[in-house]
Amino acid sequence: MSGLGITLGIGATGALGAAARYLLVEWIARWRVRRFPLAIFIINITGAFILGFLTTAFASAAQLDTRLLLGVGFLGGYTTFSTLSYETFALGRRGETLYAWLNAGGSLLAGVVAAALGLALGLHVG
Amino acid sequence: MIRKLFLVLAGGFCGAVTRYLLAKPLLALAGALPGTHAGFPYDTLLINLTGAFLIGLLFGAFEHGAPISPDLRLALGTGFLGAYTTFSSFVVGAAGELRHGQTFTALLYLCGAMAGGVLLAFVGFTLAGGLVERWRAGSLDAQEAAVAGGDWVNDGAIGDVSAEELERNGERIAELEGGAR
Repeated sequence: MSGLGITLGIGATGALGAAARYLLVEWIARWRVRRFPLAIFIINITGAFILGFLTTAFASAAQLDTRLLLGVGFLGGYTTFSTLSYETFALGRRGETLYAWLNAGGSLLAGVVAAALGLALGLHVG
Repeated sequence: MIRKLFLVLAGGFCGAVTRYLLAKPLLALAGALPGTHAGFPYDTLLINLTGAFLIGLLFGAFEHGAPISPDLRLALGTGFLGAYTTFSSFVVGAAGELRHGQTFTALLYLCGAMAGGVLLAFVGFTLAGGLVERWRAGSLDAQEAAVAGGDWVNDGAIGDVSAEELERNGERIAELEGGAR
């Protein structure tokens, strides 16, 4: 794919990823889990696992476009670091220090484990 | 719902494109600095940190009452900054460092980026609060200057009566009451 084509493609899949995140956040909000930002946590961990899988399962040079569209585009738009940072700060600001630590530490730990599992599974399949 | 979804799509499109286009120049910039090593995801790190600062600034301005509509907040916060920053590349990058035996680098990256993100969200939020206060004070000063400069002084404020005026009014009332008796 050409440079402009891949850029627009990443924009399109990134937009879909952001929309999927938005819809999932709205849907998970119905579970009425207070105090802990569960939606972004679930989104980030599932996204980390799938990106890990894509990275090793579609590792060849011929599969670069797939990695760019799904990995950089969709999963990049689906997962978010800014909201995770802000929500952690907001928890701390409200005095929910334990949940702030749990959100940051839990996201890092579960995120790395999910990414490693995805990478391992992709190696197995790819 | 459809309109909100469209706002997130539009913001998400721009955020993902910005992240993709910034990756190469950011890696080149990091590579030009001393002490940096090739292969480390400086692009993702710099994008995530700037995004965390900007979301603090945006949500801070919103919370402090700046004229930011919920639609704009959704398009820029959930859409643009949500898609501009990324968690998946961040942890997959860290897991890659771990796989290459760079345990210390991986731990430093994970904890440093997370602490930096939360700190920058706080800095952005606080800075936005200060900026909104200054902007408010500035617009109040401008209003007062306009009122002082013009001959029309009724700004609609209630209870803004000076002691001198109260005294004069009191004298006038006493005078009228005296005349009525």
